[in-house]
Amino acid sequence: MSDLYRSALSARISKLPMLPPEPDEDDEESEAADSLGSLPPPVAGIGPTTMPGTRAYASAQRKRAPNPELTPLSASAYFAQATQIAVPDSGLDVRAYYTPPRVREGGEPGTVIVCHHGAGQSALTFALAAGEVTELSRGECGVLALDCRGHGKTATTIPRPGPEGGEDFSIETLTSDFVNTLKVLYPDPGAAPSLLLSGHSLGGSVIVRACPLLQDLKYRLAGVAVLDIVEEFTLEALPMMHSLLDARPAGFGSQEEAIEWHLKTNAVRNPLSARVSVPAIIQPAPEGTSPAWIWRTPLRNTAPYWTSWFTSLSKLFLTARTARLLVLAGAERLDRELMIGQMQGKFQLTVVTGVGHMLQEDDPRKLAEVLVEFWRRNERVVPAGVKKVGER
Amino acid sequence: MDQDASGSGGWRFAQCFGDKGDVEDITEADIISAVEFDSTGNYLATGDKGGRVVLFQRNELKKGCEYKFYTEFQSHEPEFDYLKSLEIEEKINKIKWCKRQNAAHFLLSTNDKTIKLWKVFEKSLRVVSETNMHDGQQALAPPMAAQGLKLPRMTPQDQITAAVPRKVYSNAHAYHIHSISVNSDQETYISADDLRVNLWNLEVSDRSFNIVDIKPANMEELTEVITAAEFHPNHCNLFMYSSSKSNMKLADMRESALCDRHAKLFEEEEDPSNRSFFSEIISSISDVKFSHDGRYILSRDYLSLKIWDINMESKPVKTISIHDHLRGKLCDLYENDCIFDKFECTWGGDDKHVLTGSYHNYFRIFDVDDSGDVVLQADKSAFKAKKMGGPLPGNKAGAKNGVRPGGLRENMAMDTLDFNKKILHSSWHPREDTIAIAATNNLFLYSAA
Repeated sequence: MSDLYRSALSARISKLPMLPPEPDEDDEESEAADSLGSLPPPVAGIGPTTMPGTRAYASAQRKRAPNPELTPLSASAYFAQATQIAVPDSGLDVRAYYTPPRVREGGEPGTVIVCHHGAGQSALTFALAAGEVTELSRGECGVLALDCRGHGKTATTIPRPGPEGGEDFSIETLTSDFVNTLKVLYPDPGAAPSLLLSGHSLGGSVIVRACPLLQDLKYRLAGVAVLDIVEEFTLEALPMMHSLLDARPAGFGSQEEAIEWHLKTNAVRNPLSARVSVPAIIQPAPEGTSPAWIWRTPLRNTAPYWTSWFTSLSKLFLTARTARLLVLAGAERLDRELMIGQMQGKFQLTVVTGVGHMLQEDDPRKLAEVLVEFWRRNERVVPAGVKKVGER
Repeated sequence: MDQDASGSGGWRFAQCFGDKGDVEDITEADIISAVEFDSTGNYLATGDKGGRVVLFQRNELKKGCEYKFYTEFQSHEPEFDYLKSLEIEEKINKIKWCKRQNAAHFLLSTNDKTIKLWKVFEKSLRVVSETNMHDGQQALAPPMAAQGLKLPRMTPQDQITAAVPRKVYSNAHAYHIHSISVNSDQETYISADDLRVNLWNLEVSDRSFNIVDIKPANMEELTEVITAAEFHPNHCNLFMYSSSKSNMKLADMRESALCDRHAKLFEEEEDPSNRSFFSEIISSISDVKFSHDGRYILSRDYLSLKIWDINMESKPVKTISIHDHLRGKLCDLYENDCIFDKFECTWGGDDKHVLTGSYHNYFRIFDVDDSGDVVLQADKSAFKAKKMGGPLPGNKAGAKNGVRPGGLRENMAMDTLDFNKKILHSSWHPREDTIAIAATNNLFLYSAA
């Protein structure tokens, strides 16, 4: 037959629907799905996993042998020390991971990159990046990562109920927590190392608000780096957060399972980093309940504060009186304010490709390079009397 | 043809043209792609993949059926379409003879894009025999006076057969031409490609009329292509075209200029229980032919031959299975593309028999009226048997080749069919029972006369 007929035929054949894959289940699994287990929490929404009645849900219920390749890793390889800092002004016992900067000749205190994580995350999200920074700067640049209120291993000593009910997660509280912690860590602003504040997602909002407060307290700021957060788009996406949260499983059977879920749903694309950071965002469930591991931070309770977190972020970023850096993941999408600011040269913009929202985890090396370069570029030996950028 | 013990229906191998070598080292250009007897049966034309046309002439001196080589010419050359960056093959797709009107022969040959009208004639070469300087044997003294001048004399020296392209009909088809058919009025002819049928006047090469167009507005929705087209042998206004969707349409040119609306539609309702993934592909009609009296239509689809009465559109008068044992192998045939092979079919000169080819060089001749059928194989074994004076293979008596008793019919259903050896093209002498079979690069002639 002619080529025309053949090509028309193959075009039609390719449009035929695919045969459904052969279900190769064993009988046990399907029986487990049929049996009535304990009533699961309502799982509605458009999530891909764990709808009740699906086999995946049944398997989530069943205990599965943990995947040996995904055992949790300690962050001790990436940070020099982990301490718990009592911050009475905030009523918190803050967990901090710290690599102090190498003291240079002349007693210069050096620089510390202070990292604030995003909502529902923990300080260990910066673990791999911290290790890279230490390596790249040959120890000259220190790294400090904090667990903020209600996250990681930070404990609340004095409960602070919020105006909206539940714990107080308002942006003002988070900012003051951050500032208070630094005050405890570095009581003498003059002797303290210069600080390069770096915040991911919600953390970015915290640091741009903390920046003027710290400068008023006479701390020296090397710069402020906001990671992958743009006000306008985040505010637009807030309504979708609820369905995103609904798609998350209520918990996991083991830490490995949690790590696997994060990798499978591409929340984190770097397996090594997931093994360090994911265990910090889940906690063991109370004895006897299922699933065995639940989320550390019930994000749904913070919903009332979401809008306040990100409002006026762009404005505050552009008016921070220090060197500014914005790192975006994947694509250069700026809102109107940031775009004007960028055209006016008010900040450095870096786009990292091939990474997801957790860019510090997906490509820690790249982020470390960007931060260290930003630090070196803005750190100058300043003769006395000459004001640095933004200094009053 | 009475029932005879040999089982070959009285058909005897007559001749084989070609290099008769092994299958492995065939030159691609030698593969025969078209076979056609002329309207008298005295001349036989074959076209090959290399664009050459070879003509054979009946040897009148011999009593039996014998053909000898007549002439050969290069009909088409490979071309390149610069606009679409496509090669245009020189393979001859069809040859059709025009009826003889004078001493010269006229035939149409076509490749994918261009049709040519060739005039083949005997040309006597004349040479100058006597000039003013030479009288044929010795030199002459040049004449001194005007009266001594004479015209040079020419004498015929040689007769050669010359082939000259009289007309070239080009640039009329966007798709590959697969059929041409000369009208009974001997003035016009049609050429058909996958989506269009054009009407030409033999005298006019720069213009043609489009009479059938089934191209859809959106090529993505293409489901049907035209597979064959032929003029009615007696009525100059009727022609037929078959499609890949297992139907044939008879169109009347008197009705309208564009014959998209058929006068008759020949389609057999498909048995829904037989439907399979391949139903559509195997029901696609590969060739269609009018009988010589114009009362019947012969159609060939992948597995069967169907004889239709021109007056009855609903179902064929007779359905003949050719190689039904292939029905179980359709998957493999789809994989190796053999399911798309276009087999031709032919009527016998007296419309009492039909002929079509199959795989492994088998071909079959069926009786139209009763149930006789003959299976023959166009193979080396045919002429080896002849040399030794023995009967054709397939005979019960001649088990020399280790052929199983029961004949070729059973052999055809063997598992080890060679799908590369297929009889696609054949032609039947219009006046006697002589057939020409194209088997890859060889031309076989069988006769039952």
